[in-house]
Amino acid sequence: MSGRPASRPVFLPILAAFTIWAVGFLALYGLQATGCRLGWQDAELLPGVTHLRLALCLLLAGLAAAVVAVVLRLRRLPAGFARTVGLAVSLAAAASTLFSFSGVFWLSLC
Amino acid sequence: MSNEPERHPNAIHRHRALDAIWATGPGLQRLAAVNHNVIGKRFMLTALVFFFIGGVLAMLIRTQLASAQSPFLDPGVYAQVFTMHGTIMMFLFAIPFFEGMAIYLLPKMLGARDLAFPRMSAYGFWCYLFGGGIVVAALVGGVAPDSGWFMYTPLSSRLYTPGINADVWLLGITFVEISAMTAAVEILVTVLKLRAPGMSLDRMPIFAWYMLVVAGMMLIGFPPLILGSILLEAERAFGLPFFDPTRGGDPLLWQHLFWLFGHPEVYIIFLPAAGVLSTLVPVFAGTPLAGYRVVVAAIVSMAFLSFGLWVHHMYAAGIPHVALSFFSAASALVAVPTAVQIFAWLGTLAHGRPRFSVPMLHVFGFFTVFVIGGLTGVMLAMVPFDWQAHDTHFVVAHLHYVLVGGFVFPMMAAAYYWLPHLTGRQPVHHLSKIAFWMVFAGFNLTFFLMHLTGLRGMPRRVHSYPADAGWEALNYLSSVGSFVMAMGFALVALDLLLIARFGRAFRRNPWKAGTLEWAMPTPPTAYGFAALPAIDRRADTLDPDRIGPELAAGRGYLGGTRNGWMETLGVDMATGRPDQVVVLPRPTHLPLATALATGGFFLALLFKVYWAAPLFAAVVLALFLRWTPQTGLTADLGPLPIGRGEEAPHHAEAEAPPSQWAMVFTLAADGTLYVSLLFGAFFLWLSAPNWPPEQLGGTAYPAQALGMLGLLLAAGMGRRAVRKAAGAVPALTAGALGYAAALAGIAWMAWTALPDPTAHAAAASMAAVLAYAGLHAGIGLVLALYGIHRVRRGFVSPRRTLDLRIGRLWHDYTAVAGGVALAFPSLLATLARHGAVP
Ligand code: HEM
Ligand SMILES: [Cu+2]
Repeated sequence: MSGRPASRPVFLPILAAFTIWAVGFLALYGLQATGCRLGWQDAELLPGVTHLRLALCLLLAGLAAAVVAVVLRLRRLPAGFARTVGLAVSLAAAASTLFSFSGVFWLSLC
Repeated sequence: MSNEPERHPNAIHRHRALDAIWATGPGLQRLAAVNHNVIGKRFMLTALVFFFIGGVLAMLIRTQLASAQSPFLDPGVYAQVFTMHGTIMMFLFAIPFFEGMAIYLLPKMLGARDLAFPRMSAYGFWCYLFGGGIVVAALVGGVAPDSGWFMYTPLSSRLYTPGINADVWLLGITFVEISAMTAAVEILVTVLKLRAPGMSLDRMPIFAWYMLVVAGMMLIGFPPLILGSILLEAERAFGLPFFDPTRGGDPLLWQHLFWLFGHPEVYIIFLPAAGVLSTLVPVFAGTPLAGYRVVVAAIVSMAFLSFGLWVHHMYAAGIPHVALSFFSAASALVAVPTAVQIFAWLGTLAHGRPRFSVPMLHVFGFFTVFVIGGLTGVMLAMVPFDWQAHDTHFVVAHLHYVLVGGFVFPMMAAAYYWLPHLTGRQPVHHLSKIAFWMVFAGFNLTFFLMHLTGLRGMPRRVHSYPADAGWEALNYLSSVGSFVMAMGFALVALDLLLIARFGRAFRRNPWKAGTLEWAMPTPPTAYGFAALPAIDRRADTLDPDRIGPELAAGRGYLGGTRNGWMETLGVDMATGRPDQVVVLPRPTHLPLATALATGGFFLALLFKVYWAAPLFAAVVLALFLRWTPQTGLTADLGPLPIGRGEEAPHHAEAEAPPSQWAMVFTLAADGTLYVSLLFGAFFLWLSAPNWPPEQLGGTAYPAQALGMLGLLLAAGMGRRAVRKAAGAVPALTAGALGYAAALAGIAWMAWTALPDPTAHAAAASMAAVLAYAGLHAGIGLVLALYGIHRVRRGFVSPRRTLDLRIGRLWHDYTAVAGGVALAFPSLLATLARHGAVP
């Protein structure tokens, strides 16, 4: 779009981490449902570790990495509103990512 | 036309000049009103009328339940009554009420003269009024919706609800939701763009942050509901089996779409109320809000989290453990930002020296009731407990503690707080306290007891219960409580009327607040500020008593008048630097006429006069096009002086005018609807019974290729048109041809590759996706032709390409969405073929 104002972005720092959380939410939920539908929970890679569980754990690891990357990037911003609020929101998103999704490691999948 | 403003010798002269420009005329001109004062008040008053109707229905419910086997209402009527009570309270009272409040307050708090799209707010209001009218008319006619406020299928499907009751809900509420969508876009753009110079994002009054977040949530939350309503209506009217398990549909799809909206909805209702509290508490504590930035972070987090817990309403629906864990985690997490805000309020109170006042009494009511509601909510969030309490009166009690505590009490506080602004009169405490205590006591009596009946197993939505179940005494007391509460509400209403009529007059800023809405005359003039202030600190720590007279004297921005324009300033989103003079449209009857035509469209669908529906749609389109000649410029003006030695361009020459942002946000909502549709189809493939369908269809390569090429051509030409500006006609013509090709491709595809859409949900989904693409290509075609028209009329120059840039946004979106749509049938057919395992 033309005419993006030249000022420093404010919304990106505030929204980035939780957007990752939201997309991750849909992706994990979708992957879990698809995997169950296609029977990926039946094939064991290692004892007790199915394809589906592995895929979900990898996805979660990717999400967590992305959220952490956002936090690290925000810490380099100059002090101010966008940094303070952005960091607070992103830390909340990081905690939420771990807390909401860690069930993929140990709960029954289908 | 002149660039130089006309100066005014004194405040009276200035007032006359501004009033002549901004005021709404008398008589029939009232129907042409677009001013935010008028529209905001109309929204709030209409919402109160609906609150009254919903309240009367609640009294009918309580009368019925007062005794075990009451012959007062038969089961059919009872179903209509509780459905309508819930529907009216949620859709016709709570949301429109805070919309009206935001419409009335936001421009004033932000230091603007009006909202960004006054005609749209007027249109939204009429849609709300007519849509609500249809729903209430159905109630009077005895054909009101009766499947509960969340309209679960199959109960709401053709088979079980053959009459028009469910159609009334689906169509009437969708009609009303137009106003929610217009309000969402309106609020987003206004908060982001129309502020007083110097009001950077971190200086906005906290209420504006709340409304910004709420509007963002509405933008994402409502489309799934609108989509669900359209799909269910398509099933009921035309037999497309999205929710019918015998033909590859799934009733759970409705539940997902509904709660994807429905849970955020609870927060959409709560956050404006919390915004009121965050505004009032600091004023009465006499100290700024504790932790402004933390509160902003909390509400943003809350907005996201509230979208991650919709399935907690479906715990009883048999969903695997991990998936459940996602949702219960989010349900627990969302309590954290709520707690953060509560601590911010308590901290503010502890820091300052709280003054007693009537609004604070209602704030106390909020704290008590809402905290209890939160505790029972945590109980329900425990999955095992939810299985127990599911669908009992425990849930009814919880929901009212949250909704009445989290919305009604704060809104009563707001009413007492801002009534002086609306009327210029201040409370005189005679009735106010009694009224409050009656509501408070009545409320707790009514609903606390419902926890107990619920725990003893009394199900919700039943019109009678066995006399020996031991629920009767509690129910009887609960009903007594509800009558006490009703009398309390009547006293509140009477009290507010008396204040408006006989309250004490005051000069300015009766509560010693620090926000800009008090820096204007009360009751407010149509233009609000005679000049716009320059803001140099957080805009809830200002001194209205000093700023008000300055502005009245014309010292500030836009202190003169120019060409009879309705002017306000647009600013850079982040920094608040002025970057344009936004010239707003004059009062007009077009919003009313357009809303009437829109109503015709919905009524045609409701009464199944299907041939008339496209006619009305065409009239709506034609009327919307009639809105446009008033906007834009036919000559380049260059920079306009805005006062204080600064200059800014007219919005038609600006880089990022409000209407361009409006298109961005509209497309975001539109995209949400589309993604929900695609996910819906994917969900059916995943979980609906009776897949794969017998006939798959799905592929017609030449048709798909033609459609995609047409869309690409249209988008490419849309971009070229912007570069060519006044010479854009050839590009736009080519773009229009591209759309014609795209439409041909889509039609060809539908004709050859689409199995009978009533046979199976797969084909129905394909049909829906193609229809979506066709609709967008059709609108794109209209926009291309409209561009040609605007160029010919001289509205376009290299400095003035706004019309074409708005078009470009649409064309780009349509190319992406349409491309996906054309590929979608093949994709779904492939999935269906492969995933036929279990
Ligand atoms: C004015 C006092 C009110 C009373 C006495 C009251 C009473 C009731 C009762 C008894 C029910 C349960 C009906 C049943 O399941 O059989 C109910 C349902 C409901 N109420 Fe209220 N209510 C009041 C205010 C409100 C308000 C202010 C809201 C929302 C802002 C609201 C929203 C709802 C909803 C959504 C339902 C569920 C309807 C359904 O099951 O479909 N109520 N109300
Ligand atoms: Cu919920």
